[in-house]
Amino acid sequence: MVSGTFVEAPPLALAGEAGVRPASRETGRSRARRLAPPYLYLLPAVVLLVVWTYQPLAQTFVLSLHSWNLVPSTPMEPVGLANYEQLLSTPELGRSVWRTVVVILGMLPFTVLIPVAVALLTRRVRGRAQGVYRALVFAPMLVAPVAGAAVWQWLLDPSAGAVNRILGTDVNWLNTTGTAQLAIIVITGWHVAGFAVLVVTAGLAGINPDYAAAAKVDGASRGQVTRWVTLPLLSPTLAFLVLMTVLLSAQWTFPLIDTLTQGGPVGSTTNLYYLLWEYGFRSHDAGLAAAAGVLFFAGFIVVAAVLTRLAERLSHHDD
Amino acid sequence: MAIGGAVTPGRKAKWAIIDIIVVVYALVPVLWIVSLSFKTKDTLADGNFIPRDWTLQNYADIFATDEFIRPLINSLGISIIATLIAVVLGMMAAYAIARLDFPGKKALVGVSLLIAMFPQISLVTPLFNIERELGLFDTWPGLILPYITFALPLAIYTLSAFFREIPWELEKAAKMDGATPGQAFWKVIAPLAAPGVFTTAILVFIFCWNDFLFAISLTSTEASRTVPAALSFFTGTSQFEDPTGTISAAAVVITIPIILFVLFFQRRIVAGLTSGAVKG
Repeated sequence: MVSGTFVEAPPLALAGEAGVRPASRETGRSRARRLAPPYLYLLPAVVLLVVWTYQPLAQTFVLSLHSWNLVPSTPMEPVGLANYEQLLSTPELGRSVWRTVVVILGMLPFTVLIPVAVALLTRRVRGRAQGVYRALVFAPMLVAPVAGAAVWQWLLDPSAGAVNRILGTDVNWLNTTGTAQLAIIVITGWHVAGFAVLVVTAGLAGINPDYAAAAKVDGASRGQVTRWVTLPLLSPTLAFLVLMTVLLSAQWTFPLIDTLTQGGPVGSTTNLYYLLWEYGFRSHDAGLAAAAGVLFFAGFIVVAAVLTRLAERLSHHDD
Repeated sequence: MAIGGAVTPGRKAKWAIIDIIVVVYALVPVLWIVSLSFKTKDTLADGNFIPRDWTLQNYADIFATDEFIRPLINSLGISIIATLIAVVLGMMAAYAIARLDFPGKKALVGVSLLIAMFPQISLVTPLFNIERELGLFDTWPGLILPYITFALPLAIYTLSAFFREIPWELEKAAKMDGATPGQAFWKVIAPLAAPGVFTTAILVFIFCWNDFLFAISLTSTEASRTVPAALSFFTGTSQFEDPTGTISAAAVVITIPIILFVLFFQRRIVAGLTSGAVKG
């Protein structure tokens, strides 16, 4: 085991631990537990993470500098930065980035606005009803996206679909360039809104009610309390939801796009995420897919860093 | 409504209407799948919410074909094994993070949690390549290993939030009252930790059970293809038949157990989520 090297490594940690808990009344078992370095507990998790995420990530960098069609018998050819040049010169990339932005903006109402409204409104529902209500709203999250796609395809059917009958329209939602993206957003929103409601509810439950009570004593109306007390205290939760939406929206749309539109019609639902998958698994261009993966990852790091910084600055903390 | 402000009937009605709209949006598609799964082939397209002719034929069809049964077994096996391992490894890591202090802790936690928001798509092509070289492509471990890995950040995050809230002094108190360390753990700490472990296990299971990206990228045959991937290849009993009825039946079979499970335990799950995790 590699772990042997860790055993004598952290004298600092042991000293800190001993300082917290006096060693005198401990049994043999708990002393052994105290002496076992914390790294041992973390080791299996960290090894898995390194092998199955950081190693493929490194391989993405290597692949991005090669030309290869993913067939084991053909050799990988080093091509320098050609993949990046090709990628940056295709108009597809810019369009797919823009579509990704549209998806993210379209998702925000479903992951932030609606959940906050619903959570605030149902806050006063008590007891069993509240639990049942939350479970009902949470239900779509439990439906496998592919199964959800099947039923939405039926609901959006141009001739027999319920959506057209209710709206009195005869739109071919999934096969029209203007509406396909909208349909994907609404279906993805349906899928994740319940989870966001749960997150906001958890955030609300963590707010000390004394603040609202104090504001009411001082004569604030309910609207004022919500606007000036509850929402600011909820801001860390809201920041978390925005971050999640920006980073994961494209990922959530993937199963729906793959089963409902395959990126079409005329590429109108091909966002960055789907474009990447097409490069790798449709055109079997491992180099191009990897180059796009590297750019995507770099962009993701920048966006995540900026958003986290912003969230830190804008959030009001309770303590 | 403890403090101030009377509940006017108008306001009450407004809440009720908004609540109902949200529930309808959330629930109608779910119920529609159930309805489609009981319709006969001829009435599938009639647009009625309540089937005119009820039939169990769709269910009989899917359970008559390996196209569904094999993937169902794969899904169950892969998700359960991945969930068990991820929760055990997550508990170990979360215990260290919540209870122990050691140099480099922040960096390690950061490295582990960052992956939760990784664009998985960036890694799928190299994963496909690595698994093929190792002979793991299209096998159970070939899906179980990535599932454990991508579920670990979620498991560690949720569990360490729970573990931080456990009053660990109780363990010591129990020992002072004469309990053995084993008793102190199983009778005092385990019951306190159970809701957290349970919540985590359900979240991880849902992630594995519903995953689509890895399932279509890292499998190629019925040896390891899971239900979500198999559904996208569903063609019905014959090639020219509309598979909507059978897909709906399959969707009901894989969804209803989770919904019942969560409904049954939802008090614990919601209590779990609100008591520690996800707190900004």
